[in-house]
Amino acid sequence: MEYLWQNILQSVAKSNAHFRKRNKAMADNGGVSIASSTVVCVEADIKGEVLIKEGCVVHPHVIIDASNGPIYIGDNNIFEEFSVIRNNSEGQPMIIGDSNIFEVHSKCSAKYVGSRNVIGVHAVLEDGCSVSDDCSVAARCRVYAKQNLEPFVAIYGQTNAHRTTITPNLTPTVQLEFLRKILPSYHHLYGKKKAAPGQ
Amino acid sequence: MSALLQYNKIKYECTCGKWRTLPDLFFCRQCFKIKCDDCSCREIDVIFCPRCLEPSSPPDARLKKHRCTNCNDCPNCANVLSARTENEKCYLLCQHCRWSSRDANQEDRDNIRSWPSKENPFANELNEVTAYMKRLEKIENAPKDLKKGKSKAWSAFHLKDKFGVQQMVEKRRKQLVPEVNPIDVHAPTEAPTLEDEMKGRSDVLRTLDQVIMQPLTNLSESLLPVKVALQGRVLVRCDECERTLVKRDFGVATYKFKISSFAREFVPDIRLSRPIGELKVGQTSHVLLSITNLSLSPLDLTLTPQSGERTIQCSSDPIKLVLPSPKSADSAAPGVHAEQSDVIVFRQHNRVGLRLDVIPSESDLSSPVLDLLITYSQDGSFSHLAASEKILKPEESGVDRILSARLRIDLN
Repeated sequence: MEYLWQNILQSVAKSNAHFRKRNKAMADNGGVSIASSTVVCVEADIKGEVLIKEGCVVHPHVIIDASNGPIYIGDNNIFEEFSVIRNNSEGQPMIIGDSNIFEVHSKCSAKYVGSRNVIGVHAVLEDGCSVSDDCSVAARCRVYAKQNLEPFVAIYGQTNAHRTTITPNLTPTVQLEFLRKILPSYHHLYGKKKAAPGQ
Repeated sequence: MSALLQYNKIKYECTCGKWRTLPDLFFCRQCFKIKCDDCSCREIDVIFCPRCLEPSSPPDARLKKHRCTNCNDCPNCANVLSARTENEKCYLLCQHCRWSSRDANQEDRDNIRSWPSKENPFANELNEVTAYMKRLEKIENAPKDLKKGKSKAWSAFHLKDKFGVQQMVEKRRKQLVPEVNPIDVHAPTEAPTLEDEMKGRSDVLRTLDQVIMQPLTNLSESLLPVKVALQGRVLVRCDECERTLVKRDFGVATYKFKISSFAREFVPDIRLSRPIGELKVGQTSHVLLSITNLSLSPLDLTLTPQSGERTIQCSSDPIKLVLPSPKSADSAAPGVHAEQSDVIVFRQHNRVGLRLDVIPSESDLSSPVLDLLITYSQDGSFSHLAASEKILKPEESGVDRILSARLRIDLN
């Protein structure tokens, strides 16, 4: 497990370095670097060393707080309104993979989130837990601290029941395309245009 | 909503003697009586699927076993199953717990309609037995039917067979021939031992909800999508005059009423306007009430506090009021007597606020209840209505009926 984690860390660090080199102009002083194809609304609150790769969509009022440690986010993720991504570990990086959906009011302070996961409305990923691929956490469910979710696990119900599924989560391609088209026409975007003065 | 408006503290007496809150009550305009859900008749108006709102006729619903063919619930967590298409075939998926019809080893289908469900394995046998019982019923009832029929028809008429009576008689006779092949009785089977029961058991535990949703499915079989049960929409009638009290508009999706006679629209609506302070023995406390007239005509009412056993003593005198209807233009209605002006706290359009003084005694404190009687007459509304529907004779319609309602207010 530890070995795996080191492996992931190394590969992420490598791709991050590559990404930074390519997008040098996008990085601002606070350590936030965002790919040009990613849509981030200006009302989103992004702090610390945050790296968001291609094609993500960050809705207004999302909090991505990396003041305690860096947050690396992969491709094509959706962060819906009021979701909170916060790295509570001390110096440890938080890694989020590709094509995840963090729904409204979800909270994530996991160490690692894989790919194609769905984190439901008001769902909570507690400190230091890890979620692998194709998992789904239903509304108001909770992944406890230090818990590791295997692939294809669904958490549902009031008692946080677990079950293994056989249907993979689909990548939200249509939703992403729609959001990328519609969000810039109704919102000011992060880093592209200053909104109201004082923002 | 009812909790917000504190309707649950005020109970009206129904004609049948039960105490109900005002929104639960109906009012029969023909009998001039308050009716509750226990003393009114209900019948099914429409049968429809609560999910897709598709109405179905009663025989159709019976054929479908009162289940919708299109809509399915998750057998695992009872949430909605949605269809997902893959390679032009679709399967059902629960967005909550990610249960899918592939979990039940069901192949993907071309359309979302009519997924299989577990049938009763004894269905054929059951049908045979019911058919046999029906035949027995016919044989048993035959003598009665003969008695009912006119004896003249059974004279020598049938011998001529002028009107094809002979055929009818033959047919009937055939039906009356007792069935000689009754269904075989089950041979007694040995009761399964505990070991047998434990052997076939899988490790899968099912929750009670899952078992209730699919009672016929064994533990060794996988759960199938649960078809959504149909619901019926109810039409309420008065049990005495059988006139309709509540009838919904045509169409399932609409929330409007074609006929509605809820008690709120006829009986003065009394509510606590302020929370009750602490009650002390022997000391006068105030109870602040508001009376609202929601009917279409002005209301002439008298409020009389009742005293009796297990009710709190009220020192206020009977109060006489005139309440305008919510639609009338004049807001300041007359009818407030000068000596009662200290009783009336406020007056707004069709609502009036009252202050009653109560003196609780020792025995009241555990469950203080204020008992009130309202007698009211509504200016012409009933008589107009009654006359137009030709229920009352013209000479009767001139007089306004004096109605009364009794209510209890829980002061806790």
